Amino acid sequence: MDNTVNSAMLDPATGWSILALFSLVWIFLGWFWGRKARALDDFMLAGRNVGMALGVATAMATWVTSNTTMAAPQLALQLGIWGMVGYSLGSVGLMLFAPLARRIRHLMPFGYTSGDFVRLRYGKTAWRVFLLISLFYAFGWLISLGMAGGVLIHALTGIPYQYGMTVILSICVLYTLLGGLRAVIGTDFIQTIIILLGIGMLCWLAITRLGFDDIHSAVAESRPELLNLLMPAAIMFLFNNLLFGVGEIFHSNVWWSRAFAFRKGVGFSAYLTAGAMWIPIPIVAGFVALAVPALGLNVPAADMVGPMVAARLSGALGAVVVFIVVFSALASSLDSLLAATADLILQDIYRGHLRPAAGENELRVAAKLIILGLGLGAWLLCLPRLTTLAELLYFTGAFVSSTIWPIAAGLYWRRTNAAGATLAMLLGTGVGLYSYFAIGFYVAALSGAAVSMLTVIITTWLRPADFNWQTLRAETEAVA
Amino acid sequence: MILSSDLLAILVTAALAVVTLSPLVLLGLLAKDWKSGKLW
Repeated sequence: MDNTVNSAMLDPATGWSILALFSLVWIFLGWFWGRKARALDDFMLAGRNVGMALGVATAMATWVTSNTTMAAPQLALQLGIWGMVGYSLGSVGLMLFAPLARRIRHLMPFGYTSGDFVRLRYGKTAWRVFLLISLFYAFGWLISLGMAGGVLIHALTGIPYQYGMTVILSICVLYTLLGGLRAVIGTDFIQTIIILLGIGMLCWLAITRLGFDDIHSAVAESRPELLNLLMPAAIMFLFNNLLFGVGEIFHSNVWWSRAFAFRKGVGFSAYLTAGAMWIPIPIVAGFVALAVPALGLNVPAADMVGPMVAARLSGALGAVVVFIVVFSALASSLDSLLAATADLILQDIYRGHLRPAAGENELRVAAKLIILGLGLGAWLLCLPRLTTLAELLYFTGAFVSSTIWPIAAGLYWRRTNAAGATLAMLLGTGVGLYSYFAIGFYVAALSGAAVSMLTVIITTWLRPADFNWQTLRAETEAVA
Repeated sequence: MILSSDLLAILVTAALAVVTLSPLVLLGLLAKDWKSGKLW
């Protein structure tokens, strides 16, 4: 019997039907929630009044990307039990951001972007270095998500890559354009529920159809290293993944824009709860991969292990569930990234560098054009399906981890100085990139963060500044 | 040092329990925010 599953698990007609149904729902909701958004704050930051339920769900959904649903099973198959647990440590970033979100809302109640903070706290040089890092990361993530969309839709349904990628990008651009952050956060809630129910159901199927004992004994017999609690590469991955996640969350405007958008007093609890509820998701998604030996599956591509197991366990229904979960996971991250990156370009490039005197109406039009331009740019870059572009995101570990200390210290230590923060970002990125090429991907974030930390601590100690926290509130209030 | 079947079962069952209860928690929070007019 050939146990290799190479062909698509759903026929294209079913794939198109599911895509059409969900696309219509997201676009309608985007229009519905966005129809009353008149002011720029409404469009960019959902009126700055988002409550706890939507706050928790949007943080969870945005952090569950196609990587979580597809790469967690892949990592479980490659690195075993620590692959699952290591991936779940991505939640540490969300939980550590909880106090920062409260501090951000307190210091800058009228702020718009993470760039605002770096500009006001450290000045223009650090701001420009930060913008380069942040935009590089955002584009890397955007392209990797767009390409993942095309690849996954093709793998699951047989729909050609270009069509699938175009559909997922167009849908997200359209409803973000119609409803701004309100549409993003509203759809995130529904997408979170879908993702949780979907992966829970697949894990439940694996347990009831195969049982823990059969799954465990088959893995112990054919791949015992996956159950080894002392696998060195996996333990290294665990720490690197933790720091990569912290760096991604601390610097990215995706998370800052939510800190500004959440109602006063919600940020801390929302991020903490989202982090706690995110912990088990990669474990549940990853466990499904451990069923591979018990099912006797041959896996041609490690990142397709989740859908393959689902299809084997429950046939077409499993494949439909996986497709809906993956589509939801992709959309929930893509829309957030589009909205937050558009905010960053609007506030820090357009208003910050090109049109400082732009009025609210001009900015609203510019915000929409930027979302459209971002979608178009991502589509053009994703079209040739260059795998080197998809790998761009892996490089960014070195970049983002170098921002952890300048951001955290900048929010809490008034003595941290601008030159030290700039140097920390540059040195951390440089050393992180060197480690990436000289040693391996699993140390890039680790070394970048370490060098950045040392630089911030030493420069703060050698040349202490005396920053006035009131500057942040006063300056952002004046702009708002 | 190999993870036993029992420990694997405990880890995955606990994770699955949280994942299963999470939608209920979110819907509960949504209802609470809705009632108090603090949805957004």
